[in-house]
Parts: sequence; C-alpha cells; structure tokens
Amino acid sequence: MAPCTRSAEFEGRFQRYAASNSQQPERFQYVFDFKFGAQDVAVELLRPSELERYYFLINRTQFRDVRAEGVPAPLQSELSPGEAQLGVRRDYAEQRIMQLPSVFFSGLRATCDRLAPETWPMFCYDWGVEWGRRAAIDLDASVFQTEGKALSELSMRRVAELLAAWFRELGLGSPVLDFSFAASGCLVVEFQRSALAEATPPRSSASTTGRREQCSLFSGCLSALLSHVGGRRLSVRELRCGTGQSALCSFLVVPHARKPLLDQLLEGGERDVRLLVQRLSAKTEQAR
Amino acid sequence: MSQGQQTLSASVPPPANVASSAAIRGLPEADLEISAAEILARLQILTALDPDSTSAAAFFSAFEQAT
Repeated sequence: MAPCTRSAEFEGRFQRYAASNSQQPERFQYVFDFKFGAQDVAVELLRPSELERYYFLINRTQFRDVRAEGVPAPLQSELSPGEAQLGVRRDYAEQRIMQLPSVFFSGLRATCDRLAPETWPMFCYDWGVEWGRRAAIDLDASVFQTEGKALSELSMRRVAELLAAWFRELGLGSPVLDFSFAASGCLVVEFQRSALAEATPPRSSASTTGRREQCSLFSGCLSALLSHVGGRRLSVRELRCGTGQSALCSFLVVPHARKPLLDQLLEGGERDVRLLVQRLSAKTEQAR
Repeated sequence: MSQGQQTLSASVPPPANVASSAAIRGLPEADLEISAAEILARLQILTALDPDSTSAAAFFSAFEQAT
C-alpha cells in the first residue's frame, strides 16, 4: 500500500471488502495527502466475478493546499533522489516534463519528409488525438481546481480562452476560436504563430507538393480536446498553413458526421472558409 | 406538446391570414403546428450557440443539431 492509502479509511476498508466476498461495488470519498497538495477523490472498489483481482476506480474531484492534519506522501523526486541531476524535470503536479527547442520539430519533419512524406498528416493527426485525449483529462482537473467546474460546464467563450492559454503556456502558439459560422455547424480556429508551421523546413514536401496539412498534430489535438469538452465526436481539418515567421494557420471544426463531406471538399481543393461552410450546408440540405 | 411550444403559441399568435392561406394552399392545420415547432427548435439552437451564455456542453449539443 502506498503511504497515502495506508489508513483505516482506505486500506482498512479494502481489507473488509476483500474479506466480505461481496460482489457489489463499494464507493467512498477519500483524501490523498501529497507534499504538493491534498486531493479529494471519489473511489469505487470493484471485484469482477470469476477473477481473482480488485479494481480501484479513482476520480479526482478537487486539488487543494497541503492539509495540516494529513501525513503527506513523498514527492516523486523524493522517491527517486538525485533525479534532477539525471535530467528529470517535473511540473507543479510532479508530472515529468521536457523543454524542447523548435529544431526538435523541424528535425522530425525533415526525417518524415525523407523517409515517408505521405504519412505526415495521418500520423500527426492520430498522434494529436492521443495527446489531446490525455491532455484533456489533465486540463479538466486543473480547471476544476481553479474554476470549481468541469470544462463542459463553463461557458464556451471561457473554454476557448482556457484552451488558448494552454497552448500559449506550452509555447506552441495561440489559437482563437471564431464562432461566426456556429449556426451552420462549423467553427473556425485561427492559430497564430504555430510552432509546427514555423518549424517546417522551407523545402519540405509540403511546400513542393502543395500539401498544406503541416499542423495536423494540432488538428488532432484540438479534435480530442473539443470532443472531450463537447461530449461528442468533433473533427478538425487544417485549411491553410502559413509557414515561416508570423505563421497563421486556419482550421475548421465540424461534427464528426460531416467529416467525410469536408474531406471530399478539401480533396477537391476548396480552402475558402465561407465556400466550405456554404457547400457543407447545401450538401446536408440535399441529403435530407 | 412541450412547455416551450405552448409558450410560443400563446405569445406569438398566428397572423389573421394564416388560416386562410393554409386553406387556400390546401394545407392541414397540423402542418402549421409542425412549422412553429421547427421555428422554436431553431431559435433554441441559435440561443444555445451564444458562446457567452451557454455552457460548452450545451453549445456543442446545439452545434451538432445546427447541421
């Protein structure tokens, strides 16, 4: 048992549950004490039938200051002393973080251009989705702490501000959500100073073949983040990417059901936002 | 009929010429009711798409319906 669960309220409850042979789930509230803060959690304890194991489902409900009465668990860095000297950095929540210069992305892109240029958009989109799904959980927990609400409960404007702040904090650029076409089921994201666009080598295959999906990592990430917030699948496609200094990239967000139609229009070469929205709406009307 | 539809009927009475034009066009009264319900649903979607006053969850629900 980890130190923060070595108590009658947690370990004792588990021992009683294990001895009871109950098949019903056990639910309770608990507080994890850490040196970086206390965390209120909701715990669900399950015993699947025909399996000799137990599952703990733990959801954080609040992240607060260190409690005076709690015995805090050691920091990750204390469990692994001297890790800073071994190149390990951690953020405020003890998660490992890295600082990477722009050449990391330009090197990645140059390698992909050389070995498998056609895979870049697809690979990066899926990579972005995986990243965004995980980031959404961390972001939701962080926002719950500061705003007292889940992302989905905040106003859409506030969510747009928080997402933009998150990208800016990471040094990746600044996305601005444009709601002008929301009534037509389309959102536009104008992404200023995209780190990916600015790291694209000038002689990239994207430049020579006319392909424009250079920020697919952000398309995938935005798709996952907005899908998490909206509680439904949303698709994001990059319309325009400005490489080099002062890069401005545009993305279109649509409900997932519209993705095949949007892809079809993009394959046909259409990139103008107004025309895309008009054609998406017209084709939807035709389909009725 | 939902509460919202009743409110619409009460607060926005149909113009005097609606019944006669429906009769001229041979439309049953039920068509007019459906039309009012559709207008109300559209208004509700547009209201929910206000990013300043709507939760993100409600916004994206309306966003999907807007298609």
